[in-house]
Amino acid sequence: MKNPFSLEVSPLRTLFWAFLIPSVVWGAEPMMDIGLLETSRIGAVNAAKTGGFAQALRGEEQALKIAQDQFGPTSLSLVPILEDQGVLQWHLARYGEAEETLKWALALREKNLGPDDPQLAGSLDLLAALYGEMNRWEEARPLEKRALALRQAGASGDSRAISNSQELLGRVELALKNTGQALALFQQAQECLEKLSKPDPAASVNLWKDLARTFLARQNLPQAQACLEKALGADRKGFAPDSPQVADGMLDLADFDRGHGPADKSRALDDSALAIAKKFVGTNDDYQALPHMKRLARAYAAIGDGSSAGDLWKKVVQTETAVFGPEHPKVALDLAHLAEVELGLNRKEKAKKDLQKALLILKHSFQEDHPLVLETQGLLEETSEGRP
Amino acid sequence: MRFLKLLFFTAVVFSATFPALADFGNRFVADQRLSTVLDAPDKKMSCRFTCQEDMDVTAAAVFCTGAENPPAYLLSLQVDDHGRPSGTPMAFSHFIPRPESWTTVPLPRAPLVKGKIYHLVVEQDALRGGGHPVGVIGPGHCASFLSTDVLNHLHCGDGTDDGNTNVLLSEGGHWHELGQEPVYALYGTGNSLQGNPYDDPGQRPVCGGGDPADKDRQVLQGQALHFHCGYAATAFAVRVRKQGHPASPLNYSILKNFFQIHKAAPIYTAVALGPDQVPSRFQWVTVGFADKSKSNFSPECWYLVFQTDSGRPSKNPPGCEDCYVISDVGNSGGLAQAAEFSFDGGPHLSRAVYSTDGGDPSHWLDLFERDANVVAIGPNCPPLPQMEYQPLPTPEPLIGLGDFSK
Repeated sequence: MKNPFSLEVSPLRTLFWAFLIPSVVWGAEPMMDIGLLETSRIGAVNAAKTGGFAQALRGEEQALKIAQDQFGPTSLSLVPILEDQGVLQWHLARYGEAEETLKWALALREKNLGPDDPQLAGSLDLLAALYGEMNRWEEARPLEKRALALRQAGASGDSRAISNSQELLGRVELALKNTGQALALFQQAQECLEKLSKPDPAASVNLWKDLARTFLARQNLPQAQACLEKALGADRKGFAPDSPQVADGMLDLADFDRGHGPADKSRALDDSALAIAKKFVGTNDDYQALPHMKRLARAYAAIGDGSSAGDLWKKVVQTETAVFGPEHPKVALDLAHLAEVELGLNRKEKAKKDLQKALLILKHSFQEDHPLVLETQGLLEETSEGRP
Repeated sequence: MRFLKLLFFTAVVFSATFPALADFGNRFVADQRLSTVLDAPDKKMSCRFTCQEDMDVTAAAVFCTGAENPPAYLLSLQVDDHGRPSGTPMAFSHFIPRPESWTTVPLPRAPLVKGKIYHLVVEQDALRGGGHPVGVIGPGHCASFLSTDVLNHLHCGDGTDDGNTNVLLSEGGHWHELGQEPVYALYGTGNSLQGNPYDDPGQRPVCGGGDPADKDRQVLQGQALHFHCGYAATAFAVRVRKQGHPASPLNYSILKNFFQIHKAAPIYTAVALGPDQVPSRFQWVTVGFADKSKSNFSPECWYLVFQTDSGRPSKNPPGCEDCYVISDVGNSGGLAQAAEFSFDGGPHLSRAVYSTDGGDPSHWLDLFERDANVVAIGPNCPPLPQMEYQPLPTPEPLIGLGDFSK
């Protein structure tokens, strides 16, 4: 075996070292750049805001590398970076990578803080929500249960955080068709929200809509309608009368009336929502305009203006393709929305083509039994069989 | 040539006391074991310390060096009163010590506050838990308790300063400082602990295999350093002496520990000190890293080890002839979680390492409860990032927000 310590010390070499061994200069060498860590993270956050998810991911990867060099591979300092990285991978529909990243973030929190620290709840939320998107609700449930238990046991007793956990767990139970448990959790979440000194209208609205969905699943239409009315009431109370939130509330309630109540009642709501939605859409059709474009498209479709709705959905598809790439599930959903509008305009072949494309994309990202795959497949079959 | 030799000497900084600069490694020193005999009713011993972290103490341990028909003793925690124990126990318990071993005594829960000074006091339990002074103590009925001779004024676990550590002895009602390092351990709730577990001052022989050409039987010694941040070390310090008359220099080597494959791979080797530069009594010696690109340590496990072609192993202390010896401190056993008290905590973090086969990368041995006096010197670890970021929002759910018309 070659000995690794075979340094022969000759007088000449001793002399050589004599000149090389310097007197000690404290801190002469700069450490790895903490400033670069900050710059990378700030850049990533800004890029993500404008839809530059791939660029943001590169920034977070660089930040992670610096943090690993600086603080070690198992430091708690890595967790926020890893969680942002996981969320960005999720945005980009790189679900497998996102799962691995978020699991690692959770493991680091557990290692550094112990298994009972309330700070674990945030990591558990993320992973549970990701599993939900992947239709892995059975795996999401124990995670969210644990998150809720940690928050309830935490000394701070943060009502907002507990309410959030109850809502997320309620959504898991609803997806698993345990409507009784979902209902109880949503109601507990509402009670928690009411304890807050400063009201949170957005959270309250979401909970009313969760409750409406639960009542719908239980075929309790009057209660579902009442919840949607309360959601709209909370929107009107918490936001300006011509805000996007109010328009969303109107569209949801009108949607319900169209499906389950007197059709004429929905028209007034749709008209009002359309008037609001128009104010938020101009010539800008970039990433930040997407929610407004989708709302307006929905409002046009609701009043029967398929042509305008179709134009908007086409722009949405273009923008989301540019932001996320052509094989992203969001693009598939937009194509499905576009297909529905085209069906209304009796453009069956066009609709069929869009649905086929949407189905292909969805199958690329999800399993065959994923609800979005099944729903799109069903719509495609109906279209092919001539039952619009 | 003499002038050049002088130059070489100036490149190496000797110091009797360690420079107070940013460093990472075990600076805690013990040269010999000392005993305090408690053989009279009025003799008490105190281990004085500053509490490092808030903790609820539930047990304490001391090391008994010798015992002859030992009486029962009381172990109590007391707050400090002008450098002396207050005389009022916060918590106490009785025990009968066994010679050459640690005794761990459960205590009623007592809260200690970070930064405050406390005493762990040992004294005879004259009442032996009853109401009458039935205990017998004297030269034939006594025990002695361990301390070590260099008073470091350091917390050994993390190297932070504690100017208040000392061993105090009370005789005839008067306390006086002995100027010795207290050896004790405190356990608290939630896995908290603090103290000095080093009951065994040691010497680690660095020598050749008898024949300078026989590299495979050389004995190498050093310390695994598990850096907590990216650490651009500029120098290292080692507490070293020579034994006999070594003919070859002491070399140092940086090894990267690949724990997944149980290999410590050499990264860089250079001369640390010539024989003439090493004193005959232990001294700290600081040596600059010759190639700083090799001493830019990532926050993982590295070995800083020492090797020489000179000398041979020996059965007599310090374990080698015509060689070099590095000082270390260790725990002899019998103290629960001893490695957690030692430098850098847990057994798999920083620890003493050695090789008896010339540094075969796969055969390095760990001494989890010992730490060699080897220190890397460089800038302080940067503070953890204080930036407050809002986490990035998760995507809007694709499913679960169904159409209210259906």
